[in-house]
Amino acid sequence: MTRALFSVGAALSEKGNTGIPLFEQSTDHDGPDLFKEVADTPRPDFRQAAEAEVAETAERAILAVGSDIWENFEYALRAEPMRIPDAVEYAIRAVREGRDKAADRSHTGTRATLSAAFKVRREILRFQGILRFAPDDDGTYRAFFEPDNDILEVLVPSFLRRFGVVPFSITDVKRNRTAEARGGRVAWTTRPYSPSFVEPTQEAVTKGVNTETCAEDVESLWRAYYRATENPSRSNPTLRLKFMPRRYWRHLPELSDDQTAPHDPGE
Amino acid sequence: MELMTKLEILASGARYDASCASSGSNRSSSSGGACTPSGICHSWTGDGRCVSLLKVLYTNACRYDCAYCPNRASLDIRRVSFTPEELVSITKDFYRRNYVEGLFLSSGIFSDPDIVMERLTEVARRLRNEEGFGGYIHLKAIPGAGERALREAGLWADRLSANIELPTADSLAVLAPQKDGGQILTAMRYLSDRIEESAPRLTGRRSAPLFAPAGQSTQIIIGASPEPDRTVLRLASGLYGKLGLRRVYYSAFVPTNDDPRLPVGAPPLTREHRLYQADWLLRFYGFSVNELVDESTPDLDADLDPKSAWALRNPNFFPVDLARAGLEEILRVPGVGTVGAQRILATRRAGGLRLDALPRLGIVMKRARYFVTVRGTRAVAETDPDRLRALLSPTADRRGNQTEKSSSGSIAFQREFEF
Repeated sequence: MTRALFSVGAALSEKGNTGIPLFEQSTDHDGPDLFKEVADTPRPDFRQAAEAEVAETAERAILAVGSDIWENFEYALRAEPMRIPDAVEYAIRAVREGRDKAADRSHTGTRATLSAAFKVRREILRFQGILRFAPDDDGTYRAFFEPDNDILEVLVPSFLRRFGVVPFSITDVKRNRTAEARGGRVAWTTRPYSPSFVEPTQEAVTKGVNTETCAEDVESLWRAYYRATENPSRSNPTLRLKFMPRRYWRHLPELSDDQTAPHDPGE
Repeated sequence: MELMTKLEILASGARYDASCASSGSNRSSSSGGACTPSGICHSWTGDGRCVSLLKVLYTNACRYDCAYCPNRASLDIRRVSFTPEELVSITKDFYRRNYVEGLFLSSGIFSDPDIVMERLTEVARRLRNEEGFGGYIHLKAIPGAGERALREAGLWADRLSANIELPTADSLAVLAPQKDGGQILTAMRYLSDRIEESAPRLTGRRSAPLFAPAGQSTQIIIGASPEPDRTVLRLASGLYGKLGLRRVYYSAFVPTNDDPRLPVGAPPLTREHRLYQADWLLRFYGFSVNELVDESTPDLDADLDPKSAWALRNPNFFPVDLARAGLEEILRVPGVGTVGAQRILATRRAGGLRLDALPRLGIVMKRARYFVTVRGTRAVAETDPDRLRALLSPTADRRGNQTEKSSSGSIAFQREFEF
């Protein structure tokens, strides 16, 4: 995000160049240095002042555009396949021409950016719901997922609020990155996905930290609940696929063994 | 008895309650969770419906014998009950694993309504006080429970609901004679008053205790009794307008036993769908009930969505010039939703709307093209109402007539609820 803002700032710098010349000391004559006193005086750095003015102008312009525009910009950058040229053009258009122009969907680049941002936003909302955690033997709740877009950083804050003081981690299996959260702080690591991740043994649970209190296995209870809450007289597996494509089922305990649903037409 | 067996029985018993939302609350707790104001769907079952909460009965033991209910007293089914400790454990553990946003707790009426209400409230109180639970809790409000019991429930729950189930007092008298419609409305009125007086804009104090911050909702069963859609929509409109309900759910009747007072056949899913569409028109599109249904046409059109049906009955309103019309007019065009209407206005502000740009704004031109112009340029010039119906209706014959007229049934049950 910071790098992107720098790009915007650079684009704006064309407008911010005031053309103020530097005060340069002449050194190509032997006469008395009539300007010595002045030359020894520290010179004001007009270039630094100009850059500061440009940065301040850019910051005001950026803030005036609105947080929703910048969210669209950030989300479009996270989309895969990437839409970087369209997203940068969208941002420049918003700053130079105003947010109303940025909302003009008749513009091809704007439409592509907003479409990419929508796709990312929808995936973020979906994974806020379908990320599944399981406690490790040290009491850390761990989740693994394979999103289409690079959304891990955007997901973490909502789970910090949800988990509070309980430690958790989320691993993006596709991109080999993990966010580990403890006490409100997040550390980013490269953790390869291990298909041999095993449920903690009873011994490990006894010796380690067991934060679950149900008398029976929680994952089994969840599968039972998921089956029982369905209304069979309204069966509509196609509608389920529309909201939850089959490519997400691998990490869902309630569906990872299910082979009965029709195939997702998108796969 | 095993916890899993109880969970299977008591989840099955609660699945006919259509309420599923976890929206409307912004609660949080440092030790145990938070609510997301917009609500979150955690899974979808094979019926295509969202799983947002752990939706269960406290017990399926019930002293009432309502004809439509799978837990009615006269049925020979296994009766089980959770303990408060079991419910607290399951809710906490499911929440931590991100399976659910919280708990939806209903119950059979196994005893005096006050006692049932206190049992449900005990679960919510333990979750909040002993576990520091910050997730979502939806409790059923038990009609007949006293004001003290209802007030206590509202202090711990995010949403409360009392299901009105049937649209008229006469239907209740036939299908659920032990229930009192007046008692249900009294409870809803009391909850409405408490919710209103605890709203932050009135108290002005952040520390004031919240009472059911996500409001209250209710459910109406569709197809178990012969009332037309007009009766259902008038009831819903009254509940929204006079009692400030957040949601009315419409649940297509599913036969669960052989009671002769009930109809047989498949659940009326199309009718349920049309009622939800009409509900959205009432709440978000500025329509009134009389514009959608009236005494001469008391049922919604089965073949056309309610907005298209209204458009065919009101040809003088069209065409709407999308380049000049106000938001209220734009929202009345078939094929234009609330998002599409906002996009039309945004494109106008950006410097001009063109007819060929409408599909890119999310406008469903398959319906909208017959009802709009852009600065006088019309997409399709078709004004014959029969021809329009044929073009808009997928099931009409070539003359645009409906192949099967929906029946409003007997008009014997007309004593509507009074507010």
